[in-house]
Amino acid sequence: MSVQVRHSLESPRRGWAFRWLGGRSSPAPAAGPSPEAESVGHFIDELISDGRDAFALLKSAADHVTEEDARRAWESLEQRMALIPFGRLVLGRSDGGEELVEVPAFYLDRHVVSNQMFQRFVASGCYDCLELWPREVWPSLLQFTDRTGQPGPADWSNRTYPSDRANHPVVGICWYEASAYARWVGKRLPTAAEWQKAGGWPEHLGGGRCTRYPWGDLFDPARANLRSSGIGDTVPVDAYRNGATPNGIFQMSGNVWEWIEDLLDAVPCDSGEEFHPWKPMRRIVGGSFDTYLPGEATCHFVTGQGTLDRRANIGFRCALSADRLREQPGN
Amino acid sequence: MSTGVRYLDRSTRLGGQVPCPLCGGSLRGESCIECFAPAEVIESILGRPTFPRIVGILGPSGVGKTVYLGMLLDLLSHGVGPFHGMARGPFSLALQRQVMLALERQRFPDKTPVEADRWQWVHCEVSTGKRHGFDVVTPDVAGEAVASELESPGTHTTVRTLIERCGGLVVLIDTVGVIAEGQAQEMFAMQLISYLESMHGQRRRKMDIPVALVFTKVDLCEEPIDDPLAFARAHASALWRMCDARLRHFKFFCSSVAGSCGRLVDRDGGELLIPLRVEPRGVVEPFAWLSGLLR
Repeated sequence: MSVQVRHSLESPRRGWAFRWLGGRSSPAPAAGPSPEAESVGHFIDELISDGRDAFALLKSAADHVTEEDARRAWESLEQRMALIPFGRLVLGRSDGGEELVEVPAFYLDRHVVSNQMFQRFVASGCYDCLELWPREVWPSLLQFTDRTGQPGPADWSNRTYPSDRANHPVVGICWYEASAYARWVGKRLPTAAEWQKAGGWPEHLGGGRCTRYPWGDLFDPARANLRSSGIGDTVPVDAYRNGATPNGIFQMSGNVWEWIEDLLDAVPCDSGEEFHPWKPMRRIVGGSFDTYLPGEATCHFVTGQGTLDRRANIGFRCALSADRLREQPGN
Repeated sequence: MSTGVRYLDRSTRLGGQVPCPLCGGSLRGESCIECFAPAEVIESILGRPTFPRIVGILGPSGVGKTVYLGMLLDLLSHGVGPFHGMARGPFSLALQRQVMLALERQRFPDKTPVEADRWQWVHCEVSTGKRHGFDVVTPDVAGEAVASELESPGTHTTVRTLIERCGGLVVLIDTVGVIAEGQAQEMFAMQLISYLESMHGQRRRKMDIPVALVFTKVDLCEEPIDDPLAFARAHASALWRMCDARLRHFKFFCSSVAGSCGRLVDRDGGELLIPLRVEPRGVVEPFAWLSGLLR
């Protein structure tokens, strides 16, 4: 099924998207209602429709977005994302030690990015939009193609996902594609510390030590799509409600591994050993439908994948620092 | 020995000497003096009503035999599709335990020693969902010993016995080696098949022993996954031709156990390949195919 996209980066409104994408300064707002304000309101609707509501709530855009438009964007964002409050947590180090780190408040997507959501990114021509991609990956962009040689995830055809998988996680995308999508929606990939905090929340019950799984410390095969579930494939992004975190983030354990921001530059080693990846690797977290050992699907487990690899069991979700957003109405 | 020798004839049992059911040698002390099969393996085999199927899982040193076998046992013990495996005797669990404990620590298990009397053996009772299952017996053979036997037949009795008695053979081939290191992997597999033919071949007829050819470590190079046969034709064409000419039943597979690998460097500069996680692929499939054809 293809999704009709109402605008693209090539549309007359691309100026807004590009300004907000890079946080650049914009013209001063017009005083009172005007055709431009109505146009902005319509643009906010489109951003919300595309899952890019974060752009309407950035502090840098506050002068251009009315309270009413911001209220609608907040409603949308809070449906899609959950707030993880400021807190401290204990992170394991590669030498076996531990360190206490502070994690500022942030929002995390409640669901991994689905095929249907990623379709908007593809249909908007984002694979050709160099502003979204770091310069070092430009030579590889032509290799990020689907089965038919069109830009898109590896398991798609003709820029379209398999018809029965609209609500399944988008897979077959490398770290750069995940990162570009996150940038396109005004967000970013989460860090390992953020992931651990969100997946093991509320950590204060354990004195800063996050729980192993979103539901506690004991593995429960009924709460996550791992190999032990016997499904052997992805499931829709909103499945396994009973495995969600207390604040409603789904599938932090199981279904697909998820790209995060951190490099994989160390793994737990014995004394005198050092980890040397043979190609640039980023951390992935959470385990997937083919994860064999439940302990690998915890929020503490350290593993990774080559930055350019496009695997059938790796997807992603986005995060957003709370301090980048304007205040909520009524706060 | 408390178990009865149920499938051996009565005169053999009354003779007081228990022959090794694998090679026909005799048990002395802790192992067979000919093929070094441990006493516990011999007793385990003798305790069953039918002679088990012998499966050879062979390949060059470092190809991943121990990991493949340990992972296969673990998968079977949990049940995969209609297949379910049950270890017969604690010795059969030792290899599985060694492999899984290592993988949980994000390490590969220690290398199998060259000496045959230090190899680990497995006797596994396999049910298939059909009325009758079967037993499988296989040792974890050191690659160097296989190479030695192929070069100089008779130097490693255990390898010779295994290939002589096997009802099916799994030949492991290192995928990265095939792509990056010339013909060594292909030649090893060809030597093995040629050796097998010297044991089982008949004039003008293809061999009936089924052979599964498994490209291992495809997590490091995923190229063969979609079509292992096409990969074999393109990258190991001599091997493919030999199989086609000599074997009645053969099939190419791909397998990996690690989802991704990295390397550790120690103080002395020594490098160690490590699995970054466990994602078994294509481990049971060769065994499942083979099980329907075992002789």
